[in-house]
Amino acid sequence: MVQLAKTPVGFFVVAMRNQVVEFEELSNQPDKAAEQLLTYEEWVTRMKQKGYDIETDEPALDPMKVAELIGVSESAYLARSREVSIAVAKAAIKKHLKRDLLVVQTVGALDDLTKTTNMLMNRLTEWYGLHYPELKVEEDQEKYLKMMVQGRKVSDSMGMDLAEEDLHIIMDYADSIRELFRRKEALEAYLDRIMAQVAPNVHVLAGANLGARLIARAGGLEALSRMPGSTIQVLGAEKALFKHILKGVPPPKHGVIFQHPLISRAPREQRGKLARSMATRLAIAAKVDFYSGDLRPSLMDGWAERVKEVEQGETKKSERSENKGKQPPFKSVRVKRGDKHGKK
Amino acid sequence: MIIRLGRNIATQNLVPGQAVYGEDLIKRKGVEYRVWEPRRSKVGATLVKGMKFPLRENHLVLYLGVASGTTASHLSDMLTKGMLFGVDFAPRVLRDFVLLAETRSNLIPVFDTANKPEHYRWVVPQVDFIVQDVAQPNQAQILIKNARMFLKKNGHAFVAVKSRSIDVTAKPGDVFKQFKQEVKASGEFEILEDIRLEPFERDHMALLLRKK
Ligand SMILES: C[S@@+](CC[C@H](N)C(=O)[O-])C[C@H]1O[C@@H](n2cnc3c(N)ncnc32)[C@H](O)[C@@H]1O
Repeated sequence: MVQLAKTPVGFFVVAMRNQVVEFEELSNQPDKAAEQLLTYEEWVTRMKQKGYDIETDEPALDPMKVAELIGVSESAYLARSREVSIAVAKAAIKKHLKRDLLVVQTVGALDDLTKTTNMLMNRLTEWYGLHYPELKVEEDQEKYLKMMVQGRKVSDSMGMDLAEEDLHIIMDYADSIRELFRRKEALEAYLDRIMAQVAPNVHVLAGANLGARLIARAGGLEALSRMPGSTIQVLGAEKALFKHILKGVPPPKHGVIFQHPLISRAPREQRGKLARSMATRLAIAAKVDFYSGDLRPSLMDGWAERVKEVEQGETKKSERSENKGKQPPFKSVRVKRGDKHGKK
Repeated sequence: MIIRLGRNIATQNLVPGQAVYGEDLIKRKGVEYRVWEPRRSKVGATLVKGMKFPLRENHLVLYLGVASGTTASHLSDMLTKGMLFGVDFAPRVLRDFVLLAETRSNLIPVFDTANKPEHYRWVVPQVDFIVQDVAQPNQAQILIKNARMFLKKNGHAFVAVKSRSIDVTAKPGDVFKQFKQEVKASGEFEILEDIRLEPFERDHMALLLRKK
């Protein structure tokens, strides 16, 4: 039976009576050593393959005492620990601080692109509509662009004829819009990838787009991880919240979380409760993502049951007291009580 | 190590000329001291109120919830032959602590959650002193886990307890009583002193413990 030790000096296999039987030394350059520390699990696997009977994978021994076994003094151990820890902490912080800010910017860029393409498309349809008024955008702007490029106009169109030069300039303009749509697709795919890295649990629960919006609204993953579900539930409804506080209108039931397909597709009366349940799960997901980053599939456990409960609750509602289960995520702060029935 | 200057306390600056969090630097007989602000540091507050703090210059210290190192910087002044491992899981504050550690040779940053002491077993040895200021509902359990893994027999622990972080609705007195019971029930500690931090902090208690 042997014991393992992971230390800033190196990895050890220690046998009975403090005998060091294996020692993998780490580089004395702190940055390198910090990287090598990440290979500890692989080293453990190698040791197992070598046939050592290992008590537990977790390093259990006091690292300073183990280092002493190969002649590293206490002061040398501490000095070394400091250098390596600084390198480890720097690398970890660097990883942590940056990526969620990329999410915030990417989702902002996507919104900018959507606004821009909408604006440009409005102009384009009006412009090209002079020539071909029968072509309709429907909901699919990209399809409009495609049909336009194909250029087949119905023969009995009421639109005006255009000269080669006129058409050319419109087509070029349309091309630049198509380019923006391609940019949007690339950003969406990228957002999906980084969300899976930065916030894997939020990603699974809310999807890349909504998850990113929550992170952006909160001001980063750290901020989101500190929020209770009740706050997450109304993220993106800040305007409504202010109105509620200042003017005493009913408080908002849900913010951007309302875009979640599981919520937006539910019957209207059920959305508030589902949003609350989802927000609670997202609050946990954000904490796990921020602090450990492990994927926890169990976060959606019980969702189907909750949906059923809510459905049944709705049908039984008339039997229950009026307010129960209907409460907004926080206490109502009505300024003027008399206003209660004022707005009709 | 700590000097009294009228109503203030101060530590001899390990890095002359450096102020860490906007505190005053003062000179006495050619030696520079940093004034320890009791409103910015719970350890500072207990010292001003007269609680014992048996830290020696050669101690190894594990600090849970070190944040940007306001309090740790004064302990660093005191630990002329020792070392302090500062744990915090918040990247923004720990970033400041890393910068501080680069200027002070007795500070070691650990970016991790104090809930998982096994994560930093690779670097933290047996220590003489644990300081805990994490403001978490499960902080008694965090303390006990860390003490079991790292604190030497007869080593000391200083714990700051913020009543509101543990239970917003309960009366502070009840929260503190419950906290002390939990610590005692673990069988790890003897409670040496407890003290309320008013007027420096509202509804806070500090405990000095000794490991059995
Ligand atoms: C009140 S502040 C500490 C202030 C510091 N002790 C001082 O006096 O300078 C609490 C700190 O504990 C940290 N914290 C809370 N829970 C933690 C945990 N489980 N692991 C590590 N750090 C934690 C927070 O990030 C925060 O920086």
